[in-house]
Amino acid sequence: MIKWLLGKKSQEPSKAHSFIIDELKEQIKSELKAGSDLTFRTLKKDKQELVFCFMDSLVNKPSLDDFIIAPIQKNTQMEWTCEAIAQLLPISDLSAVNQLNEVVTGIIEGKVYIYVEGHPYGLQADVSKTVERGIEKAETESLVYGPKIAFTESLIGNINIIRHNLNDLNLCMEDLTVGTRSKSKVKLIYIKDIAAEEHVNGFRDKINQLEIDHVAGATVLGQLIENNSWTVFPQLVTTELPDRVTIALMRGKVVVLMDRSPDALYGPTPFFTFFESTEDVYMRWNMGLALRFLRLQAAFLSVLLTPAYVAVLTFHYEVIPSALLVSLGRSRANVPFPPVFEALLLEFFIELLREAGARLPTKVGQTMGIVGGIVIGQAAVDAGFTSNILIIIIALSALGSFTTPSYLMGTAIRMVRFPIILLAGIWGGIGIMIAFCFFIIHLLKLDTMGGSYLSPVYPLRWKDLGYSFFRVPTQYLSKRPITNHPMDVQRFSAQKAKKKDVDD
Amino acid sequence: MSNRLKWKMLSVLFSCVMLISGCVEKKQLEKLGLSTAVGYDLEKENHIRGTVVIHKFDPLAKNLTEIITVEANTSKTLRQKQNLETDQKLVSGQLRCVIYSKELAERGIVQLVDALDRDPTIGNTVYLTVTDGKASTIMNMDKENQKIDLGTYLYNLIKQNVESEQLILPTLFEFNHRYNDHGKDPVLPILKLKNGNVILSGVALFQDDRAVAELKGDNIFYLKILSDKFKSGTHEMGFDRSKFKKLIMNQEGNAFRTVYKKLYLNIDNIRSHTKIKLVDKKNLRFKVAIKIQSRLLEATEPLDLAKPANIEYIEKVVGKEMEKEIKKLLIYFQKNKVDPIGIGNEYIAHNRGKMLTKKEWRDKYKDVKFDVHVQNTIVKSGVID
Repeated sequence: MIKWLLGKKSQEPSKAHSFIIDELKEQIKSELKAGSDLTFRTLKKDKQELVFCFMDSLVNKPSLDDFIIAPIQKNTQMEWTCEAIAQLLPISDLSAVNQLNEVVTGIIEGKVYIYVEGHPYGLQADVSKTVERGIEKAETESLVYGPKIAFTESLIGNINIIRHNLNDLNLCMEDLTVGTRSKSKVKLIYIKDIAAEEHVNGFRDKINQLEIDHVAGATVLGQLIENNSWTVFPQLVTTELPDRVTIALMRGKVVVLMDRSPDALYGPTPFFTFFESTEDVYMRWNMGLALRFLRLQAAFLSVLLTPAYVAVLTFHYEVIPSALLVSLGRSRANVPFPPVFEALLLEFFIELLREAGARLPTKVGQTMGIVGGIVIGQAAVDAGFTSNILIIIIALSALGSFTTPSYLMGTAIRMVRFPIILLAGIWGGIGIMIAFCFFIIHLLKLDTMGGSYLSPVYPLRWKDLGYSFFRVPTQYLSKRPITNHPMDVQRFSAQKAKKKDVDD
Repeated sequence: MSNRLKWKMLSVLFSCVMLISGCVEKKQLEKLGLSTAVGYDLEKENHIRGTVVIHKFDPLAKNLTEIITVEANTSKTLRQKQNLETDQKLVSGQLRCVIYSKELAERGIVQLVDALDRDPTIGNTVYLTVTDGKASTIMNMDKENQKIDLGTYLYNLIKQNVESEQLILPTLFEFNHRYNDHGKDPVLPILKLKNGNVILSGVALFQDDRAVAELKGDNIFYLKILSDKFKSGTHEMGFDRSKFKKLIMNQEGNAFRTVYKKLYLNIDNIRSHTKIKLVDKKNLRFKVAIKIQSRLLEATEPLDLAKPANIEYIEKVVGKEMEKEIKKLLIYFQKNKVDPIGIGNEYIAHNRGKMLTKKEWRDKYKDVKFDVHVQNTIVKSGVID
């Protein structure tokens, strides 16, 4: 966490606005400086004057016309007082304010300020509209199996999805704001009798303590409230899948949603959480187990393979099996560079391909893949730039890093490879060993919301392994993972589950 | 630790990594000449001729390997001299097979084996072999057309035969173990050239580090039974036809023609278990109890195997034959003063307290007597019945 962002929020002194309409207009104009966007509509009747102040771009025009201006104009015999207007208007969100800063904030949020001259306060009616896209399929965490719905940028829409997924009465949502200037809305979501209080308080305190002008999204918020900001490993998961959030909530995690951000942030999330996919849960347990293992192995190999190639070819020729010796030696004999340089070159090339593919539109991106993968890959071997076997190894490790469901963790794994390759080139197998020791120590020292990052492997929590490291049949998961310190541990009665099995 | 000290320590560590790493000797695969097989001949008194098969990775070269022969007194000088004759740095980390000429093996090979032991890059699983003639002839055979790597070929030849249970494992480790064991002697396979190919022709029996005798054919099978467990072996035995007269089936009118003078039986899928026990400490009497389970797979004449009595008869005859052969073999070992089975270990196990030297055991070995019992069971006789 960044220390200089912390501190106490200062309180502005309260000030009522001017009761004369022309002065009020000037006050609002000088506060907002919104140009032609800020609109005033004045009505006059029997020396009474009434003004509507709103931002043209933020209000829903038809509802403003139909539900606010029209009723007031039609009721000619009514006297214009705040109470009378409040009785008249068919608007659900209506409040009385007279502080200038409140008025201005309301206008920015898309409310209409209705003020009758001379009165001590005016009315604020919510007819705001927000621009949002429709609900779409998940893009960054695409799935084959399971619900496809993804979060959007609308906080209300996202809450709607979660509320529909979970009809629990104890589902709590706390309102917080973040950003001293941007004032983004943040929702802290948890299930009251499951989530540990320490985690809820942890999230709330850290978000409240933040003193920063603007937070760009839930992902950035995650970076700001993590305990170690130097490491490459993310300590909180961001996801765009509502069902993933639902599952996390039921396991006792705490979720943070942010307005205008399509990602949900949740924690505490140990290292192995990043290798879980919701697909594991939807699949039959044995398939889920196999796939989860595949993913862990892929990540491990992705880190180890290239450095091992470099170390073996530079220092440890003794360990090459005789069946591989010929093909390895032959393809290496054409390459003019030492193995470290060769490997770094090719890794760099693959990273370039990935980055270029991500920046380009989809159609051109496909061509990129062909040009990069086939043409340049083949040419590089023919030209004696790299060896055949290294191409296979690099491709394997690139694939391996992409199998990680969390894009953040996948990138971390790819980046971690470079220092290990360098060390392998300098010190061989000893270098790899040193690098792995360093990373194990580093992972042990990390924490996620105060809990151990390597849990449930260290400290070993045998029962929790079924949730994160393995995937076991549901009847063995009668208790929620204790890594999350849930208040209500029991999911279902293990004994009843067993009995039912016998009867069947 | 203050922050500044930490940074200082880190920078010192970093510069150490950068500077010291220059001292690590790099061995890039393509710049190495990997010796995969080494052969030693006795050239004349005090002189060894060393031949080495070098695996090279030259994309332009026609042959995968290069063979260099030099003369010297020690094996490391050999390496140095060989290095003078090649453009790549010679290393022995991929050594698979070592060949000693018989001449050399008869004089003793321990100093050469010791040189292998002391080289940390050489694995413990390197195969040691003895050749009938000269090691250099085997390695130089068909030099121009050599497409395969001889080291790998020999390695596979021996490995394949060890796996099919025709050989006792001849690794460097096994040799050392047996050599340093007071009650056991080393055994190494013998290579021979036949029609331009290297084949395994027998087994050399060592007394300490000197080859003194040789085993061929059937006797290798019995040696293996005595010293190891069989899990799936094959063995053929010949008998006089008269012994099986009752069992040979009538051919029902067909003219009875025989190709062989004798009747041969082939048993396979042999599972054996051997127990050697010292039964009489004073008279040095050992009981050798062998249990064999096997499947009768082939007979040169149709035998009536439907009756259990017949099977029992075959079991007994085969067992008797084996007993006879094994006894002969044990006496052969005694005569040559070699103990490849480890009878001495059994003796030492029963006489604790004083350490038995090799010489003491050799003196005692002369007077050892054996009772051999073979219990043979034929479990199956093919799928037909």
